[in-house]
Amino acid sequence: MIITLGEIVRWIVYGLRRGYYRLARWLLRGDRLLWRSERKFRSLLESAPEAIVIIDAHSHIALVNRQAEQLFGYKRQEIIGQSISDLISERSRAEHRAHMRGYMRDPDARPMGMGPALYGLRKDGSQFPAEISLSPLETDAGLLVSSAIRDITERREIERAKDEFVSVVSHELRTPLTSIRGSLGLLASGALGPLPPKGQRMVEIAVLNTDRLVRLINDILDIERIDSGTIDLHPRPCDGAQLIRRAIQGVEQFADQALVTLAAEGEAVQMYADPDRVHQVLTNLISNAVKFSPASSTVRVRCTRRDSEVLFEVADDGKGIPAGKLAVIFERFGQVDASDSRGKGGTGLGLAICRKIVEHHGGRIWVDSQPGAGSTFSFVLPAQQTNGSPPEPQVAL
Amino acid sequence: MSQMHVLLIDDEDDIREVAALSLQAIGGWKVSTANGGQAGIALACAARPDVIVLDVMMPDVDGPTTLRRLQADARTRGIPVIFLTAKAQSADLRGFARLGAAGTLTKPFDPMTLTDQITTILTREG
Repeated sequence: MIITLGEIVRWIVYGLRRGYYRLARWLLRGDRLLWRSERKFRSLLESAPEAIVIIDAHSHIALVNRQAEQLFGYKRQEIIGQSISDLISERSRAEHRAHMRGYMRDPDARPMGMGPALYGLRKDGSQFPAEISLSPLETDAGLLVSSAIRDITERREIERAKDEFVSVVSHELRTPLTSIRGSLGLLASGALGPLPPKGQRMVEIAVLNTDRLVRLINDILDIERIDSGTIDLHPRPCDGAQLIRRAIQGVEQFADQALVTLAAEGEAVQMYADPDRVHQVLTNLISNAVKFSPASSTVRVRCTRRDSEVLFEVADDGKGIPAGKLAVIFERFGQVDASDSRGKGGTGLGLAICRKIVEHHGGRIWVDSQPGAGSTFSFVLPAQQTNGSPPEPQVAL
Repeated sequence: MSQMHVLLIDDEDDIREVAALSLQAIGGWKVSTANGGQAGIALACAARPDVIVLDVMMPDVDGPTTLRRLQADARTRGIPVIFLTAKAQSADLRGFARLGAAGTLTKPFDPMTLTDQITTILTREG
């Protein structure tokens, strides 16, 4: 068969045409998918209940939703391309910049409510306390960061009112308790004359329970203050081992009564934290360990430097914690057994307070335990001060 | 050593009675009492106690104002003042120290150790 040059040219043209149409169809379909995907993304963005601001790696605003326009008072065309700093109050800018630098080094999803509240700045110059969550978005154009921003002005006001209420109630409860505790203490001591044995026992029970009530009031006040952000943290350089010794001294008498030995392990470890609050955490963990330890056992307390953190551990040979309870043990009234608070004289708030204090330092607290094999409560705190300010909390805008 | 003389200023009758009994029965101290800041200042000028234990929240003249007036009067300036308060937050305690109080005791107090706590504060103050 003879194939003419014309036929060859025709086939080539035909093939090229088919290829072109296929390529065009493929491109059109891809474009359509891309367009659909983008439309879905924008629809999701606009339907989000929170104000969303998406910034690029240079902290320039790339995208905002309607809620963000309403929250900050800008039209989107006014702020897209501007620096995110334009939406941050002057008083929060330095902190924000420091956090963003840290975030860009290690971008991961950071949920709302765990970081410090920064102050947002509206177009009209007014400010508002804001809570922020962060999510990294990997795109062809590079890393973007999506921030969901919540105005917490109203919540702050409620918290302030609640804090004031708790403070007043606490004061009003303490005043009559002072007379009750004082009277019972004098009676129980025998300073006012001997009581019959049953009367003596009853007064002693009343003293113990009055003290428990006082502890409960103190703990409630403490946890409410931490929750409302009015906790007083005064971080400064301190020695972890010294804090352990001080905490052990405070619990020693109680441990002696329970026939439990306290052992401090480890050497001096320099750190930057509020020593009074770390002492509070250690005292709480060591007291708990003693409460749940069998007689003649030892509670071991130690601290060690671990990279940029200081690790504290309080280990006991007690009855341990069931796996199902490990997740709630740091919640308020999250005891293994509700009768624990009655039987062991606890308030059910101690571990929740410990967790709050540790988290306010930018640290973490956890427990390793198996029923019958004892428990080890551990917490880590940042070892050093960063950027002339307290260690960076875990979450930031 | 002569008997310690304490002036106790608190608007709560029951607390005054319990604290006075505790200081007398446990410490063997002499105790004078006043039910408010104004009366307390007058008694302090007249009786010159060794130490003043002062409530913070009182309706007529509150504790901080009473302290300032005591410090302003040459007759009472040298008497150490210890706050006795139900306001036990660390910020409150630092505030009391800044006012010039020798120390702070928190309510509720243990009547068996009240004299010891006052003695410790006075010893620390030197």
